[in-house]
Amino acid sequence: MIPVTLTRPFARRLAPLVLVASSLFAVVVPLAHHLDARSRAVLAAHERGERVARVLAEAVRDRPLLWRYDAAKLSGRLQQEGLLGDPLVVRDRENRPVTLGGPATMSAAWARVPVLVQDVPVATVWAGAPLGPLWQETLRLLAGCLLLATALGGLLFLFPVRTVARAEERIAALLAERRVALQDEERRRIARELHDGAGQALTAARLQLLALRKRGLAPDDAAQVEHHLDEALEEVRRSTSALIPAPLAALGFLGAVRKHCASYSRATGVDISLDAPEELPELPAPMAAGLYRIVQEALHNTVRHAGAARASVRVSHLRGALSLEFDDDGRGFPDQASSQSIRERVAGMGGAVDWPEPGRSHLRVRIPLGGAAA
Amino acid sequence: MRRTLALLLLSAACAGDPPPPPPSTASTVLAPRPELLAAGTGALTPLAMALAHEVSSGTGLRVRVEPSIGSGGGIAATRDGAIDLGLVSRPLRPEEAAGLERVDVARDAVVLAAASDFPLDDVSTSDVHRLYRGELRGLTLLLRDEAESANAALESTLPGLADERRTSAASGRFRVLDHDDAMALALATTPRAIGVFSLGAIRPPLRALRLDGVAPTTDAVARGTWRAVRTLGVVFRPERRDRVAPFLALAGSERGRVLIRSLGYLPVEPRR
Repeated sequence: MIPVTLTRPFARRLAPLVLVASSLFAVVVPLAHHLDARSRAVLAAHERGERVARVLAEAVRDRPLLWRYDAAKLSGRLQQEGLLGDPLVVRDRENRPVTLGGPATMSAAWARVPVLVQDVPVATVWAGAPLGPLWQETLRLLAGCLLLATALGGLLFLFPVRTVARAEERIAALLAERRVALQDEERRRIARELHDGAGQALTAARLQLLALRKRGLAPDDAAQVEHHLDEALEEVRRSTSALIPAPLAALGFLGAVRKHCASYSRATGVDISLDAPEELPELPAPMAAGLYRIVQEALHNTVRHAGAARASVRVSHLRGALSLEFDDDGRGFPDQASSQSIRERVAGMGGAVDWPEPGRSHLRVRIPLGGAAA
Repeated sequence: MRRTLALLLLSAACAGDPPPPPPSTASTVLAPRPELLAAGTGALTPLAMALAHEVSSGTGLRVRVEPSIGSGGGIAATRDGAIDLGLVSRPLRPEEAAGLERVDVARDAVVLAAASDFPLDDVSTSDVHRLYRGELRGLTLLLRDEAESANAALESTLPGLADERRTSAASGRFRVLDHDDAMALALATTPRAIGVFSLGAIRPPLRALRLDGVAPTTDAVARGTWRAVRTLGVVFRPERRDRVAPFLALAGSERGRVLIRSLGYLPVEPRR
């Protein structure tokens, strides 16, 4: 499996976002609830303070001098009206406390209401909304929101991460498949290279040896066989390393083709003529190798299948395309199935092949040069 | 983000008004006013006003009696120096008695009072219990607050009545009045109403009902046949004894005793 690293970086980037979002949810909801509840409690306390202030104002009107000493009676009345359940602080004009009972002063949100008699302030009421229960409620909500945020955060984190993890596995599987396909293609390409390169050289050497057996061994002939075998060895070496035909690397495309035509002609006795321009645009190495192999394969077919005495090769460059044309005086080109490698090479370079009609020998290959045609 | 959070916290902290400041801790006794000031239980208010009128006429000392603030209020105001005489209708608790002197002035009959439209002149003990339990249809019971000493005086003679009163008060079906003047007004204006009251404070259109055939009078109190009785007195700071002396002298004098009896109270026996 090819290692594909998507999940971990994605999780690293997602985690802080989820943490921030979850934390905001966990904190903002209880805080907003607390503020809302607190403001409502203060409003209720203010309303209670106003009711207490009305009772006190009435007491002050009835007993202007000594109303604060009537606290026991006032307390009873406030108790009766349900106004003493929460913290309540009353101070007279001199800030002296008026004890009316009710719970001891505790942590509270306060509402301050003046006691007015004929628009003159005579006392002040502080009605408190106890904060203890409010905080308890807020803390309970906070705990709930923390749990919920943790759960939601987990889902927000785990679902995308799991999806990415599955995608990562799928991508890794696809890459592995692709690698296998590429390896297979490469193996096939190497096989073609060996067949078209070393295979041709060895075939020539074999033909040479057959001829020698018939004629008797001559020093020049032995040298030629040696030369073909050396070339085959070099070809194998090239195929297993850079997979570039040796002459191509040394002479360039046109030079390699000229050399191959000459040496192949000598080896086979077939008269091979080459018509090529002096120069061609610089070809990409894979394209040059592919074209060179096509030349080798086509001449090999001419010699092996057509039984020709003459053959011609024409290389031309016209309107952004390179054209290779082969012709001979033999029995005609073998069927297309026997030229599988030519078909594959041409297709790989995006070109087209004009196959000869049955019994005819003219083969034409046209390859678009693209960027190389410039 | 940080700014929003700060605003939220600030608004949370600022919801509502500032808490009450620390109270004034000044414990100085208030200076006396030019006039003699008396206040406290409403049961003694009519008598105190009558005595005040006599004192003012005889000595030229202006005496003012404030509306009822209850015995506890009278004691507290006297201790603070806000008034000179506190009118009380119950014994002082130990924490109240410190620093005050008490002089008893009269004995007061606690009665069941009603307005003239009340259909009965005489109620039985059984009727009273049924009334307090809310079982007498067509009559309206008016209650006094828990701290009122008249409750204790009446309930001391009618066992079980205290619990029935508390149950009725807690039920919310009965009006509870905080002061004698409020009770007087409620009795006078509520149809077929009845409530506990001070005999000395009764003024038309209110009248006192007989209980088990016994009429509440000063003679009945003196004879002991009317047992719902409380002792009324005044409290004062010792350093103001001279200021209140004319009032106390009149209350203890023969003229004062006549005045007390004429108002429906029973004078206390002079100390020997």
